[in-house]
Amino acid sequence: MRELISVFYRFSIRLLLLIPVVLAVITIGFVLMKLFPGDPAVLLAGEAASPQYIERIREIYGLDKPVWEQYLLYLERVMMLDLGYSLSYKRPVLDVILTRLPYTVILAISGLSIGLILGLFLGIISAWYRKKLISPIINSIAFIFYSTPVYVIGQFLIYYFAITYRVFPVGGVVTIGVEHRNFYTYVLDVLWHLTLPSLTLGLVFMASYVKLTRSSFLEVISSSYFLAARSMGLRNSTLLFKHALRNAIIPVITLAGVQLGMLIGGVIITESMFSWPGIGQLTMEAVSTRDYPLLLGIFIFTSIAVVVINAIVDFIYSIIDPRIKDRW
Amino acid sequence: MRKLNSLTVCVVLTFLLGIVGLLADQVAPYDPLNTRMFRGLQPPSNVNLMGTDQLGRDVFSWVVYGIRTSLLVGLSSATMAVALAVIIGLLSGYKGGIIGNVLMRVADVFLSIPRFMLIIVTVVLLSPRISNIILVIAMFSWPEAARVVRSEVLSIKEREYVMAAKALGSRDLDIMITEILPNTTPTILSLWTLIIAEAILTESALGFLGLSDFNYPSLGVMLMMAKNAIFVGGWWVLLFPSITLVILILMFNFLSDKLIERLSPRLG
Repeated sequence: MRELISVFYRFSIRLLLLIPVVLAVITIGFVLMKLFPGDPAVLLAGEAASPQYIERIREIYGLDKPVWEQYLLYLERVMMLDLGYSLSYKRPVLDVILTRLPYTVILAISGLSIGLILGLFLGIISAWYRKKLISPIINSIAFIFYSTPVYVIGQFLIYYFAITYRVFPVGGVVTIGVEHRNFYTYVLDVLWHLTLPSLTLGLVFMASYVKLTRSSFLEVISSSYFLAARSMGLRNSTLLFKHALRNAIIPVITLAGVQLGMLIGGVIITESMFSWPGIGQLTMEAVSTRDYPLLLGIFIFTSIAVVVINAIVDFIYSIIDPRIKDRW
Repeated sequence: MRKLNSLTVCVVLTFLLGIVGLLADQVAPYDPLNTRMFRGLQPPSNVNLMGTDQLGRDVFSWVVYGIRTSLLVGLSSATMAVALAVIIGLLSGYKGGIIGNVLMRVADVFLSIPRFMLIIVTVVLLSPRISNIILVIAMFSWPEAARVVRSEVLSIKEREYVMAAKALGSRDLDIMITEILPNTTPTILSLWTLIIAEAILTESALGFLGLSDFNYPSLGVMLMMAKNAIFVGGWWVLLFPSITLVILILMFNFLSDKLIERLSPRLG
């Protein structure tokens, strides 16, 4: 019980420490709004808005008041979860974002999982057979993928699997014009559409996982406790799964949390390539329709989400593995 | 004869690509921006080495100019970012103090939010001119480098020779420039090439999403054309710019890896 209270206490402190970061994110959002070379009221109301509407926006945001007052007003609105009003959707920005969020979460989780599984698998093989030919081959492949942009990988996958061999669909979430008899055929259809985009993301992230798994695995193999286990005459499979893998996997899993910010960049491009209707595609829609309130709203929303999720993930690790100390 | 090593090959290749970029006007047979609708989507031939895109633009000329744009954006934004990172890293690592700590907190904030999203929003708001793209990439690339420089400085400043310089009464600025900076050179060079690779990646990604300067052909823009071209069999629009881009990024990543191994064996 006392332990639980202490964990809860540490978690609360951890969340409290997030407040300055969240404030900083909102401040960046405000600075970005000010960066726009023109009337910020036009930025928020849209170029086609009536003079009356522009006037109302000016009043709501206090754009005729001094800058610090504008800043406080902006802060207050974001704190009240008011991210503004989307020009193209004619709905509150937060609403629009929340309807798209599930798609991005599904894509991000499946992409990250594929990357982790492939990366761990190849990294372990490369470390375990480090004196064989397979090891440099895996390392070179990982290095090439590490330097290949997401959209190059994605387009080659589309070219081979969607256009030449027609095994997977080109994009979208479900087949258009198909009535699904039950829930399972629907899920299967979605998974079928999810394959290429999540494979694209997975291949990009695989590269950095291979590198890390390999070095972490080599470190474990050369440690004295592993030597002790080996000299006990244990079988290779026991050595691998029971002694090496468990210890080598920790830093790799930690990286998964840290890379969340990078993941967002990959997700934006992947979604717009495969017309996957998540936050990334929404971002590009906002760019092409000049829906600046939506664009700024997405920025603030995803940044805060990434910061909070990273904090939670970090915290969970620090409980699972006491060697990792809280970073803040 | 000495065996060719991979670092030499890589440096030579980088210089070759640099020359291609520099002499783009001489190397490219056509004006890359020249559209000729009646010669759209021609496969590779003697006339168009790498074929043409939907608008009839010569892919080879575009790739040559694309190398120039990539290197321009990569070199200039990475140089700016690293210069900023060195100043901030030295300041906060050696002097600490309020300014140094605040700057590191700012770096932490930038490191914890999605960078590419921030770059997209800023470029869109400022309009995607080449100067804006370079500045924005530089603006958001220094934090990671500053962190690394700072940790290097923190370890170097405890060494004996720095103590000795201090005991001899050198000023802080002199110690920073003559004692500490030269010893961080391998790290700085490696960071520089790494950020060049990242900047080239970011610039082309922006081009792919349609955020590029019209006057500076970007490899990303040709890959955006490929998105539709591959549906009607135009594989050459995808293949050649992709290979060029991957080679560019690969080389700078490789240089970064090798430089750190070669110049400071203790880290390798």
